[in-house]
Amino acid sequence: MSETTSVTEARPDPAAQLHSRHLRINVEQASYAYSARKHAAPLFTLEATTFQAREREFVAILGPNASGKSTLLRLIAGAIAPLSGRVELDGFETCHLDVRTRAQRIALVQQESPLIFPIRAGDYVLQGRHPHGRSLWFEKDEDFAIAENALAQVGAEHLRDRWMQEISGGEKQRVVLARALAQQPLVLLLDEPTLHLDIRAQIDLLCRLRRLADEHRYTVIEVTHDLSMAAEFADQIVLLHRGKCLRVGTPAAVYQRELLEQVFEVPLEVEAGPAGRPRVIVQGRREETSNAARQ
Amino acid sequence: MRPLTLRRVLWSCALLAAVLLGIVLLALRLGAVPFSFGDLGQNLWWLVSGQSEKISTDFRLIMVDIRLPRILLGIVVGAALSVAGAGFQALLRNPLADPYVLGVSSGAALGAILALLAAPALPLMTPAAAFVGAAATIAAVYFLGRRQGQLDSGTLLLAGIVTASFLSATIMFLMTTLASRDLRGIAFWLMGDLSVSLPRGLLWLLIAGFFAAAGAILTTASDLNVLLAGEREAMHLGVDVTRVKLVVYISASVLTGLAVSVSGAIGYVGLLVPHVMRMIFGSDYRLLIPTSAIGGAITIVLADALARTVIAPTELPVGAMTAMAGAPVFIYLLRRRLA
Amino acid sequence: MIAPPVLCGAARPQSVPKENVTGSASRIEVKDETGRVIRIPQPVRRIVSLAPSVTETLFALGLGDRVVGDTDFCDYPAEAKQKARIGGPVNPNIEAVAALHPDVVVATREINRPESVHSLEQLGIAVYATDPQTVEQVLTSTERLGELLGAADSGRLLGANLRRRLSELDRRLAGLPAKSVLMVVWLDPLISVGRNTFLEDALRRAGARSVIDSPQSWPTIDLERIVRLQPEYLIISNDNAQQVQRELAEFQQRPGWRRLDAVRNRRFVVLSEAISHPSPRLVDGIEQLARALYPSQFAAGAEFVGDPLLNCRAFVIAPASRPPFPYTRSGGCP
Repeated sequence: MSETTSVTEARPDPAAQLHSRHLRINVEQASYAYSARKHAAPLFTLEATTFQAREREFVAILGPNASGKSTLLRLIAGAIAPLSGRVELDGFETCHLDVRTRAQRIALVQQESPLIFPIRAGDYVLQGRHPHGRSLWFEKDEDFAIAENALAQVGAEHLRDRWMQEISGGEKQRVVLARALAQQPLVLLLDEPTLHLDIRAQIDLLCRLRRLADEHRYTVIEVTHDLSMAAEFADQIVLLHRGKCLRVGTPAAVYQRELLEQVFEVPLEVEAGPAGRPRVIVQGRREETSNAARQ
Repeated sequence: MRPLTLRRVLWSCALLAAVLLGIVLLALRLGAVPFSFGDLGQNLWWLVSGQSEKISTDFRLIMVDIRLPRILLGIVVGAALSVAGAGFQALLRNPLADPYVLGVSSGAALGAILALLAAPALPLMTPAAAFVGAAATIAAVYFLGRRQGQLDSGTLLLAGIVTASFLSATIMFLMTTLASRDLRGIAFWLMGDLSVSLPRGLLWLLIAGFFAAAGAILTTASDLNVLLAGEREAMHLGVDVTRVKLVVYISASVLTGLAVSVSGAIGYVGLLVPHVMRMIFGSDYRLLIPTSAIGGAITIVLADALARTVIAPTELPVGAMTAMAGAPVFIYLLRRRLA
Repeated sequence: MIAPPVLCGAARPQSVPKENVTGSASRIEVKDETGRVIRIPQPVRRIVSLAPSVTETLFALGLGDRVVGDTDFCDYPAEAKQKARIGGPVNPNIEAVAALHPDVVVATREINRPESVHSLEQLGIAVYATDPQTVEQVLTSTERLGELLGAADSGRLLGANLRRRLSELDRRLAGLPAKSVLMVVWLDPLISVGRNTFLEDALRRAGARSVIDSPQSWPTIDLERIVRLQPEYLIISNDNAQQVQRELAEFQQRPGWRRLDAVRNRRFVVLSEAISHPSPRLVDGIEQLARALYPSQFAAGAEFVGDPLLNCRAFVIAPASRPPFPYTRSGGCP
């Protein structure tokens, strides 16, 4: 919507070039490892990974559990610093940005912690304005407008006065997304956002994310293990397997049968779908299929 | 949703301050020595209008030298405990947290006991030693409560409970093996008692300490709102989680230490006043901190006034009063599922 | 002989007072029994007592009419009950004390809290604290109080009287082996007396020896130790007839207590509360106990000199006799 665009452009920014560049996220040979204690052998390693994400792009970081997806997302979010290589947002290393500046540029949507005290959805979304305030500040009209706007963008204006503890999972997910949007970030990071949603809510969410990327110039990076959805909505896939980045590219380029079977360790079939997007067909047990084929 | 503005904060505080003033006047009126409202009004007028020569000696002795300082002390202690309670509830992410859960009061009690044993004749020894005990406990629990260099709510809570138990056991040990008659008064101290008379300098020091620590917590109020909605998310919303937790931990502990050093462990106030204020004014910490402070002051002054008069001339310790009233309030809040 | 009290800068209060004119009263500077230096206005007309033993002492010194306030528990003598009440000894109401405008407040370290003393000092009220730890100290404390409060003569008289009675007692009990006793201060938990208490000293003066020797003043002890030590007598001190009966019944009924010879043979001594107050009545209590333990040394009632102000009640429950309840408060021994 034009309001968002005008507010984005009106925002005073020290380095003007942050807006005109198209390359948003640059991950260059970034690696990470962590161990239970210092000097102990690493429990998990993410090996050097490279990919780039641009304005209006929807990237899906794809892989089975424990493949390093969440670690990569945290590197992009700047929550952790890479052991080697760089992770940059518009040319600045994300881990070196201070917390507030980072929160003004990057919004992370993850499984939320349980709420201790009751809070209304509207106030929850308003918290997304926190990175833009000073200490001991009160929200201005502009902030309320932005929060309202964010709720509208996710189709949740009717939830504004409802208590967070009372709304359904899908509605909550939308409110959390609205809070992220209220931050007015350049980049939206989502950690398995469709995990507990039913099919309708999943598609609803992904369509919105697609629209946000296309129409509002967000860069959306999603971590998922859902092959079909990623193929359907993402512009770029980063395929991870046990801490290794195996391939980066469009869904058509990445969804090769042998590759996918190696990564996900199940029999699959890939066929071409409409608009050049691949379709993944889940096989049953190999023996059954060959039996069916014989008959 | 009604937006929270500075005006709303100020009006809420003004309203509560008016209630506090009413309670203070009531507390001035109540006591073992009766004064009528007429006497009270006239003498107060003389006091504030600079005609203090006209004040009767009885009034000066009872009101100015005894009751007024006691009420002032009650205000500071009540405010300190309530703000500390609100702070701990946010820091520990636990609605049942009160200022004593991290062991600060036990450390102060141990300091007070050692002072009573070593130098019962020195009036300042007890509050000073109690504060030192509190400070030592704050440091110990801090170091025990860290995880990967940062204060972790769960670890902090456990560290605090363990420290509190250990200190309580030490106190019980000392009390039974020493059985000194100088320790007789410790029971009152442990229940919470405002009858200690402080030298004026100490009272002003207390007030200054309160404003410093409560002010520090107030500056983190917006951050606390976000922190409460989720600690992991808070960092991604621009909250410097490590710094905020440290500031709240130290400030709330200092507030508790200040209060407990002079008046012992008055219970229930730090736990319940924030909850009652939440019910009335909502969970936003920018409003909760100031209203808890004034609400706590109201509660203590009222409880102390009652404690002084229900079975006059015998004085109940104020902690007994807050416990008696606090338990039913707590049950009520539980039933409304807010605690 | 009487040990001379230590006064700063003056041998006796009435001569050479340190002039410190506040208002119209002059004050003398004295050191109380806990070592604090205080200034008492002279003459002393209004006294507040913060402990029952202090009230008793003041009345025994003849200063009863100058007592303007005492604690809720001051019930002896009967006139004490009519004084203005200022709360309990442990938590006196500072306002109430201040409102009485006392010249001096008398406290005792045994029962009163330092905080109460500090609060009163802050208001400019002189607080004199006593701290007698032996029978002799009770006497000198009484005499000194008399001196400081303007009743020096009655103080000296009272002291002399009490000392005479004590030395008479010493004479009667000379050479007799001490009887082992257990003084039961409290039953649940079992608390007795330790060293450096006036009570232990009182027991000694009465020819008794506490089987408990503890550095704590009021030690909690377990029954096993008592059974091993097998005291000859069990002593309780209580003025309330019903409570006495109940306590004696407890001794009989509780398991373990029957292992004590004293319980099986019903060798109890019930004393009045005089023995537990560090006041002139203490000597009465000592005499009662001595009579109970060594009845052969005393002709029944003959030479007992009772002050009508002081109570006297003592029983020894021998196997065949029943306790002669009820007893009265008027003077004289049964």
